[in-house]
Amino acid sequence: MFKQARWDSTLIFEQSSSGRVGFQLEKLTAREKNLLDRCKQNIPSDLLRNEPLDLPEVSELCVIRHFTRLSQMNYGVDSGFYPLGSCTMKYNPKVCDLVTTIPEAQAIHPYQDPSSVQGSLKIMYELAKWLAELSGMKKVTLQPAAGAHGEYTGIMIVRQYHLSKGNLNKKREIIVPDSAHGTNPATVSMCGFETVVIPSNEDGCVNLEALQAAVTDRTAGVMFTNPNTLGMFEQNIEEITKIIHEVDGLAYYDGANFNAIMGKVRPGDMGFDIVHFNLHKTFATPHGGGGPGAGPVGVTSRLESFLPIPTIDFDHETNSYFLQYNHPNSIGKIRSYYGNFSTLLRAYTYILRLGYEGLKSVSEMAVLNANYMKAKCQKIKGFSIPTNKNSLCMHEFVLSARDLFKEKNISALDVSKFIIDQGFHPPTIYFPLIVQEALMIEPTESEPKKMLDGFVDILKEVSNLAYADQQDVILEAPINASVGRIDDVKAARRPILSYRMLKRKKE
Amino acid sequence: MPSIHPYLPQTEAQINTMLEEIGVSSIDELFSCIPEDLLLSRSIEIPSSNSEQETIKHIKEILSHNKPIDSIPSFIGGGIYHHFIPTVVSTLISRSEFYTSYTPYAPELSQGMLQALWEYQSMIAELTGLDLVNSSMYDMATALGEAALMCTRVTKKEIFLVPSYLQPERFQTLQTYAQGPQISIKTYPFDKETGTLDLNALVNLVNSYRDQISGIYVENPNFWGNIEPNIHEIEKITHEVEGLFVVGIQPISLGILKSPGDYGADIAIGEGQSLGLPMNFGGPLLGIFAVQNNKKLARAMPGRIIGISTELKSSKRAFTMTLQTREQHIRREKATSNICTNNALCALASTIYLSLLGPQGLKQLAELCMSRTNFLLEELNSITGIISPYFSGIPFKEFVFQLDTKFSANEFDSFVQRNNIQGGLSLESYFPTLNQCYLAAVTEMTSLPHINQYTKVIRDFLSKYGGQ
Repeated sequence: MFKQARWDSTLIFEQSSSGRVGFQLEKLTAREKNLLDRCKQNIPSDLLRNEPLDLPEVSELCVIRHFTRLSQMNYGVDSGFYPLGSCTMKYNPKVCDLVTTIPEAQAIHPYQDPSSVQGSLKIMYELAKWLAELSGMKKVTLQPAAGAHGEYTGIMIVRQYHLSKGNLNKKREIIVPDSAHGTNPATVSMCGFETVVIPSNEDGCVNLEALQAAVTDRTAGVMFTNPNTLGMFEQNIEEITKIIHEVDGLAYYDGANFNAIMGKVRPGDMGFDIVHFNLHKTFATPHGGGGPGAGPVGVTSRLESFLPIPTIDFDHETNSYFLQYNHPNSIGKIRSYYGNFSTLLRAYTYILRLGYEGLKSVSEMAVLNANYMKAKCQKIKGFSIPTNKNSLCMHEFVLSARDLFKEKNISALDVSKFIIDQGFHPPTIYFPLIVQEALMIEPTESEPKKMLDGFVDILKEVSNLAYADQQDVILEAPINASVGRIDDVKAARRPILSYRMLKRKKE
Repeated sequence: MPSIHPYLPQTEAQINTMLEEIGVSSIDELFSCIPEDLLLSRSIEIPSSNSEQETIKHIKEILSHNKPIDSIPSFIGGGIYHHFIPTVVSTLISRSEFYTSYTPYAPELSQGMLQALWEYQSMIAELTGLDLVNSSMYDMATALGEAALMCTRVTKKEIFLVPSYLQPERFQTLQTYAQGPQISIKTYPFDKETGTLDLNALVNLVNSYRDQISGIYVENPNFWGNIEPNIHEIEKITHEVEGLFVVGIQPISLGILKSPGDYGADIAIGEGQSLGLPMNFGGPLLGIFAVQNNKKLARAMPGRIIGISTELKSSKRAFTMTLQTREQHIRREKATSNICTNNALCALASTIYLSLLGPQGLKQLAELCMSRTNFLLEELNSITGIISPYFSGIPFKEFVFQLDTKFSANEFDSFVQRNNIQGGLSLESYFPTLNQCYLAAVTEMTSLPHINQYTKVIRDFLSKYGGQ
C-alpha cells in the first residue's frame, strides 16, 4: 500500500546552530589577506554588510538528511504513474542524465572560442535539424528556456514579420480558442498584441464559423494546439491555416501535444508557420519539479531570417560549426547565450536511443494507451466523455466528473485527492476550462497495460463509494500523503513567503 | 507493429487486447482521424535507434571536440563563472523524487519540492533584503526583461534607464522584451576614469525625462567588475521621480556587500548560476527575482510563489503555491507574465549550496574571490605593456585590463589559448572604445599557480611580439 513519508517539516533554518559549518575553503595567504584588508578599506562603509546574513549554519550530513527527507515527501515519474494531462510525464531515461555530467558537457563556458566548443555546437546543430524534420519546418532555434518562452519567441516572430512588411499598425490581433492553455493569451499580451478568443465546439475543435467571423484584416495570427487540449485531432486544420493565410496571418502551433504525432503527421504539412516543442514533455527531459525545460521553436523558410540570434550554422569551407550573429531581421535575443544546453543534450540522447522508428512507436503507444483508458473510463458511472463517445482521441483525453458532482457531490478535486491515496499522481483537473469537472488524463507510452488498469480501478472505486453514499471516505483523502488537504485560502490571505516574514510574524 | 524497445513496455499480446477493448483493428486505425493526405508517407531524416552503449560512445566522441576549462587556468566570466560545486549539491539534486517531478500541482504529494522552493525564496530574501521572491526565472537576462515590464505595469510610465555598460546578452534581451509593451530603454554612461556610474550624466538624463521614468536599473558590482560607490544617491534620484529602483546582483558578493533591500531597492534581480550550477555552455541558469514587501509590487510580480499554510484539519505546517491570481492559468491575457515552467531544479541546487555555505562560507568565498582578483590585478600591473587596472574603481571578482600592443586581440587570444589557458573576455567587439581591453574573472577555482601561468604567458607574448 502507498504511504508517503511524513517527516516533520522542520525548516533548514530551524536546524541551525551558530558556528557550525558545511563548507570549507582554502586559507588565504598573508599577501591575499593584506590585499583584502586594503580592498575593504576602499569600499565606502555604507556599502559593506555589517549584520551577518541569517542563512542556516548546518553540517554537511544535516543538509544531506534534510533534503533527502524532503525528496521522500515528493513524487516523480520514478515514484509511480503520473498521468498529468498536457504535461507528458513519461519515463526520463537515465542515460540522458549520465551524458550531461561529463566535464566535456558541463565545464564549458559560453564565451569560449568556438573552436573549443565544436562538440556542443554539433549536438545543437543536429538536434535542431532533427526537430525541423519532425515538424516539417525549415529551421529551428534551440534558445527558448520553456514552452511559454517558445511561445514568446514565436509570437515575437509574428510581430517582426508584420513589422517587416510595414503592417504592424494594422495587424493587432491574435486569435486563440477558448480551450487554449493560459500561456497563449498571456504570451499575446507580452508581445503587445490583443487576444481574440473564439469559442470551440464541444470536442474542443475549432468552430469554423466562429473563426471565419473573427478573422479580419487586423488578424496577425492564430495559436492552435493540435491535437487540441481535449486530445482531439483538428480535422479541418488545412482549411483553418488557409483561412489565416488568406489575410496574411501566421499560424502558430503550440507543441504541448507533440507526443501524439511524431513520425505520423507534421505541423508544417498542416500549414503551420511556427512551431514550438516542449523537450521536457515530448523528448523525455526531466521536468525538475518545475523546470528547467527547453522550448525550441521552428519556422518555415519565409520566417527564417527573424529567428533569434545567434543561429548555429555550419561552414563547409572550414568544416566547422559557428555562431552566426549577422541576421539584421532577427527579433534579437530572447535570453542569454544559446539555450539550456544540458536539457538539449538529454533530448539529443533520447532521439538517438529511439531513432525514427522508435519515436513513431512512442506516439503510437501513447495514443493506444490513451484510447484504451478512455474506452474503459467512459463506462464508469458518474464519468463521461465531453466529446463524441465513439470518436478516437490522440495521446490524452478529458473525462468529466460532472454527473458525479451533480448527483453525489463529489468533484474532480475530490477524485484527484482520492487518487493520491492510492499512490498515483492525479490527472490535471479543471482544464480545459470549457469542460465541467474536467480530469485531463495523459498516460504516455511509458506505462504497461496493468498500470492503466490499476488507475481505472481507482476511478471505479470512487464511483462505487460515491453511489453507495460513502462520500466521507472520499472527502477524507488524502490520508496517505505527507499532508492532508491544505488551507489555500489561509496561504493567500496572510502570505508568508520567506523565513524573514515568518520570523516577523512570530515576534 | 511498433518496434520493441526498453522504453516501451506494451507487449504484442497486450496491444491486441487493448485494440480490441477500444474497438479498432489496428494501430493505424487509431490515427484514422487524421486526414489521409496529411499522414506522413515517407520516412524522415532522423537516425535509427542506437543501443545505450552505442549512444554513450557516440556522444562522448562528439563531446571530445570540446575543451572543458575545469582543468586549465581560466579567467573567463562576464556573467557565467566557474565556481566549485560541493559534491552534496549534485548528490541531492539527483534524487529522482525531485528531478522527475512536475510543477507541484498536487501539493499534498509534493511537499518536498514546495518546502525546498520556499526555503529557496527565504534564502534569496535574506541575501537581497527583500521579502518577496519568486521560485525562479529562466536567467538574469529574462529577469531583467520582466523587471522592466513590471516597472511599467506598476508606474504606468515607459522609460527604463539602464547602464550603457550592461552585459551585451542582458541588454539585447531587454531590448526584445521592451518591444511588446513599447517600453523605451535609455542608457546612462560610465565614468571613463573609475569604470562606475557617471552620476552627473545620470542626473541630466533623469532631468530630461522626469515624469516618464518607470525605473532605473543599476548593477552592483557592474559589468566591469566594479562596486558602484554611489548606490545610495541613485536610490534617491530614482525615488524622487517616482520610479522603481531595480538592482542587479551577483549573489556571492552579498557575503560582504549590503543587500539591495538595505539601500532601498524595490526589485532585485540576479544570476544564480554561481550558486552551485555548472556552466553548461550557458544553460540552464537561474534567474533571481525579488521585490519589496508591498501589495502593489506583490500583485505585479511575475512567476510562481510558494506560501506557507497548514492542513485544513490541523495546525500541521504545509506548503502550497500561492498568489496565483497573477498567473497565466487564471488571469490569461491579463497575467503578469506567461512564465510557468521555470528553473526550479536550479533553485533547489542553489538552496542546497547556500545551506552548505551558510553566512560564514559565503563571506569567506566573497573575500577569497575579491582578494585573489586583486592579486591578479597587481601581478598584471607589474608588467610593462599592460594597463591594470584599466579603471580605478573597486573590483569584486572581475576587472578590466588593457594590453598596450600593436597586435590584434585575435593574435593575443590565440597565443593564450595555445598555451592552454582560457584567458579573459575580449571586450572590444562589444565595446569598440575599449580597444585591446579584457575582462578577467577570478574565483576560488583560480589558484595562485594559475595566476602565475597567466602572467607569464602575457609577459611572453609581449616580449615576443613587443609592447609599445
